[in-house]
Amino acid sequence: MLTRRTFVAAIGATVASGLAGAASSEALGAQRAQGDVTAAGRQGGYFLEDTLTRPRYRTAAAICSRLLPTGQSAAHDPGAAEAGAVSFIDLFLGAFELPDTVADGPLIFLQGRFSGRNPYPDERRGAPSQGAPADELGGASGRPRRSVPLTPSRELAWRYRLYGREALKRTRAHPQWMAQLGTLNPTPPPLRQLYLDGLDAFESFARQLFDRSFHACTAAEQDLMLQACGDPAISASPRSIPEPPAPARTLFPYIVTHTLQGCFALPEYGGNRDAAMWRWLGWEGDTQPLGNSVYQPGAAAPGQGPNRGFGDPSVYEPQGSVREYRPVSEPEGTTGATTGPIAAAGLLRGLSRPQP
Amino acid sequence: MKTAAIVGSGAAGATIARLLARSGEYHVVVLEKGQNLFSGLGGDVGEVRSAFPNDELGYVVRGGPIGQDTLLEPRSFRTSPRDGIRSHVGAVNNLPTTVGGATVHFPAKTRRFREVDFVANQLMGGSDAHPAVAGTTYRDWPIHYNHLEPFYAVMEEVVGVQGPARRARSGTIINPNPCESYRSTPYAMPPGTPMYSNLLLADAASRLGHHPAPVPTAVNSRPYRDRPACDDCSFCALFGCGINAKGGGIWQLADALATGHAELLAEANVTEVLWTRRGSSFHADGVRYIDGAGRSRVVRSDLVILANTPIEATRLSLLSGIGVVHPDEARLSAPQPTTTEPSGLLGRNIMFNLQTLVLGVVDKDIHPWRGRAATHTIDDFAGTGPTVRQFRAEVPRGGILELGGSVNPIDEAMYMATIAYGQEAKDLLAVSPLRRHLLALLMQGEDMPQITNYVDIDPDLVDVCGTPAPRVTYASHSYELAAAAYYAPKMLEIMHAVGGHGSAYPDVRVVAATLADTTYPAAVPSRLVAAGDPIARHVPTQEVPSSAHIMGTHRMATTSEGGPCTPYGRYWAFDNLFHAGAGLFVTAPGYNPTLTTWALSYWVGAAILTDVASRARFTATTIDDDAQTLQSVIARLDPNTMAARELRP
Repeated sequence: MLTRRTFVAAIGATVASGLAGAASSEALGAQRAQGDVTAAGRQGGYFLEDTLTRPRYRTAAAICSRLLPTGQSAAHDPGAAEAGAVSFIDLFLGAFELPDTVADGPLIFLQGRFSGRNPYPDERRGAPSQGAPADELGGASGRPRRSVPLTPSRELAWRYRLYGREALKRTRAHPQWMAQLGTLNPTPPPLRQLYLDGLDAFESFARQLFDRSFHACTAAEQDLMLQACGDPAISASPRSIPEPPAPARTLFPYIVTHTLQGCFALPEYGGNRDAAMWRWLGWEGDTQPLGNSVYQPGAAAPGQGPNRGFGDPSVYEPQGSVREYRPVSEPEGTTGATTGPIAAAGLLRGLSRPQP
Repeated sequence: MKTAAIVGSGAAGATIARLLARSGEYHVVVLEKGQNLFSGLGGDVGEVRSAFPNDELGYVVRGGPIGQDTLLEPRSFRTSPRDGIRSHVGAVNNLPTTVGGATVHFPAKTRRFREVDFVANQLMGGSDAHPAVAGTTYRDWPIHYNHLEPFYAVMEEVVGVQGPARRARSGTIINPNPCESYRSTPYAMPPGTPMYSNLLLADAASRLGHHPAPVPTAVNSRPYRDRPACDDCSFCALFGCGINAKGGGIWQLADALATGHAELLAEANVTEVLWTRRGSSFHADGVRYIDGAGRSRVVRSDLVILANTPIEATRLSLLSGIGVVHPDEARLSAPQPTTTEPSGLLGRNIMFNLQTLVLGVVDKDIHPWRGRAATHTIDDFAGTGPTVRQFRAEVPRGGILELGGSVNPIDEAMYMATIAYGQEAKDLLAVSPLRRHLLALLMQGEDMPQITNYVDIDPDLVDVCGTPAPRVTYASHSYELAAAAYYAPKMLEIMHAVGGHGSAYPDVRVVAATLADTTYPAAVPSRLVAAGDPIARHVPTQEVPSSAHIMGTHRMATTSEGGPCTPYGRYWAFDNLFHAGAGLFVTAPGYNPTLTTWALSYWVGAAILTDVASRARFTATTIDDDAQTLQSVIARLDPNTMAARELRP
C-alpha cells in the first residue's frame, strides 16, 4: 500500500489543473521529441492499444491499477482495472483518430442530454417511472459516441494539447499566436509524446531494477517505482532505489490525473465501465432526466423531517402538483467505520493550508 | 427599419436584443464569438434542445465547448506596474465563450441590490470629491433603487426567478427576507426544493440571530414559459442545463429571434468598432468581425451596443481607438481623457467580489451535491440596510453568504490525489469528506473601486486571431480585506453552530471547521469557486481574484468627468455607441451581479427606444422624469407582466 507522501509539491498544481491546465515549468522543460507520434497515430484506431505496441498498453494498465487498486472483491470493491481507466486514456490520446464506429467526431466533449441510464420521473407519484429516454450519447450496443463538433479554433487547441507543435502545421492560425504557445502563453506538454516516453521509461526502469517488464513486477515492486516518481525524497535517500528516468517522473502526475478521470467520468468516455465506480461511491451518476427531487423517496412536509425548525413554513407551501416542499437530500447513516472525526479533521487541516 | 449590432449574447446582449426586436423598430444582429449549442432557437421554446449532458469531465475538467479556452483566448494579469509587464498569463476571470454567455453555466442566483447599496458613499459620509473610503473612487450611483425597481421586477418575470416573496390575499407582498428592499411584485415562482446542507446552515444561522432565506434563483421551480420545472439533477453550477429549466440569456435570445427581427451570428469574433467623426462628436458605423472560417467581415448598423463582459468591452473599445490607458505608473492615478473618451476612465475601476470561504465537515452523510448549487443565502453580512434609515456607517460592508457547496467525484478524487494515492486515496474516497460530509459558507464581499485597478491591452500577448489580449491590473483594497477579516470569525461561528443539542438537527455534528485561504483558489473545491471554468481554477498565482463577478470599467456617471458612460450607457463622445452590462456598475455591492446586469440592460434598452438615451445633461430631477419614460417601455413591450400592471395608474 502506498502511503501519504510529500509528493504534493510535485503533483499538486498539475493534478488540480487536470489535463487542460497549464503545465509546470519542469514539465515544459522536459519536452522531448522521441519517435514520430503522428506517423504512428495516422495508422488509425486507438492510440496505445492498436497503433502502438501492446507492452505500452500493459504498462499503462498496470500503473492505473496501482493508482486506484482493486479491493478484496473486484465486484464489490472495484479499482482502475475494473473501471478500464486505461481504455479511457487510450480513447483520449487517440481522440482525433477514432474510427467512426467508435465516435462520430473527435471525442473531447460528449453531446446529448440523456445517457439512457436514468428513467423519467413519475411526476404523479413522485417516484422513478419505468420509461427511460433514448440514449443520446451513444457508445452502447456498438453505436458510435456522439461528440460536440469542435469549432476550428477549439479543434486546434485540443490537437495542440495532444500533438504539440505538430498540430500547428498546415493551419492558418495567426503566426504570432502560434509563436507564443509554450512560451509567453503557457501550455501543457504534448500528451501523446509524454505517454510514449513516460511508459517506455517506466518499462526500462523496471528492467533496470527488477529485470522484468513493468506489468510483470509484483504490486510492491510497482508501488516502489511509482513512489520514486512521486516523491523525490525517496530516490534521494542513500539506501533507496536509483533515481527514476525523467520521462517517468514527468508522466506521473498526468497518469494519476487521467486514471482518476477514467474511473469517475461518464462511461461513454471509455472508462468507468458499466458505471462500476459510481456504484462503488454510492453516487447517482448523471441523473437526468430523473433528477434528485424525485429520486429521493423521503418526502417531508413544511416544518417536518429535514424541514424542522427552519423558516416560514408558507415558503414551502405546496401548490398544485409541484414538489417544492420535498427536500432533495436528507441525512443518512455514516458511510462506515472509517468516517472518523479524526480523519475528517486531518483532511480539513490540509485543505486550509496552501500546498507548498 | 434601423439596424442594431449587439456584441455578445449573454445576460446583457440577449436582454437588449429582445427589447429592440420586440419594439419592431430595429433589425437586430447579435454577434457572439462562441458556438451555438442549442438547436431550434427562434421556434417553439418547448422544442429547443441543448447539447449538454451531466458530464463532469467535459464541463468541469475540460471546460466544456462553452468555456473560454485559455490557449485560444489568453489574458494577462499583474497587481501593479511594479510587477513588470505581467506576472501571469492564462486564465483571468474567464467567463464562457458561447451563445448565451455565462448564463449557460451559471448557478443562476439572482439577487437585487438594496436601496442603501446605491447611495452607500453618501451614507458613509463621503461625496464625489471625497470618497468615504480613502484611496478609492467610491461613489453613489446616478440612479437609485426606486428607479431600477420596476426593471428588477420585469426581468424577474422575463427570465423566471423563483424566490420566497409572495403576494397575500390582501394584495401586499410578504417577503420572508427582511434584509431585502421593497418589491412591487412577488417572485415569478415559489422557492424550489431546499437542499439539506442549506437547511443545516440556515438553522444554525437563525439560532445566532441571522436571517437566512431561500435565494432568488433563475431556475424554474414549476413549469414556466414553456420550460419544465427543475428536477434537482445536481449538475447546475458550471453545467449547461439539459432540460431547459435554467433561465438565462438564451431564452431572451429565443424571444428576440421569434420576432423575425433578429439574427444570431455565432462564431463571430468582433475585433473592431467602426466609427467616424461627425463635427464635435463621433458616430459608430458598425463592427468588424472574424467569422468561423477566419474571414474578416463587416456589419453596418445604426447602433452599436457592446454587451460583452467589462474586460472584453474595454479591450474592444481600446483596440478601436476609443479611450486609452498609458500604463506608466505615474499617470495611472489620474484620468487620461481623449476626444473619443472624454472621461479618461475607460477600463478603470474594475471590481470583483472578494470571496471568503469557510468549510466544515459533518459526521453524517448529507449528500450536499443533491440539488442546485445553493438554495439559501444569508444577507446579514452585506452591511446594514436595506433602508437608508437602517444604515449604520460603522458596520463593515461585506457580502451575502452562499450556503452549501460540494464537489463531484472527479474533483474529489483529484483533490485526494494531492494527499494520497493508491489504497489510501481509495480509503479517503470511500469516506468522502468533500462530497458526502462537506458544508461551505462563501461570502461574496463588496470590492472597492480603485482607479489603479484597470483593464488595458497587453503589449505582446495575442489571441488565436492575432488580436491583442486584455491585461488586468488589480490589487485588493484594505477595506474589503478588513471586512473579510471582520466577518470570517462570524462565518466560523455559524459553522460551529450547525447541528447538535438545541438545533433542529440534533443528530448532526460538525467535526471540523476552518477558514480556507481566500487568496489560494487552487485549494478550494471547484464548485465553491464562482470562477467558472476549470482552467480558471488553476491559476498558479495567489493574486488573481477567483471571482468571476466582473464589474466596472464603464462606470455610469452624470458628467463626462465621472465615468465613460452616461446613466443610460451611452459613450459620452458618441451618439449611438453603448455599453450594457456590469461594466456600468459604479460600485460592487456584495451580491451576485447578474440580476442587476439584467435590470440595467433593460434600462439601457428602454433608453434607446425612447429619446432619453441622447440626453447629455443630468440632474436628479431629469433622471426621476426619465425613469417614468423608461418604465413606459415595460408597459409597452411586456404588458402581460405583474411589473407592468403595477405601473398602471
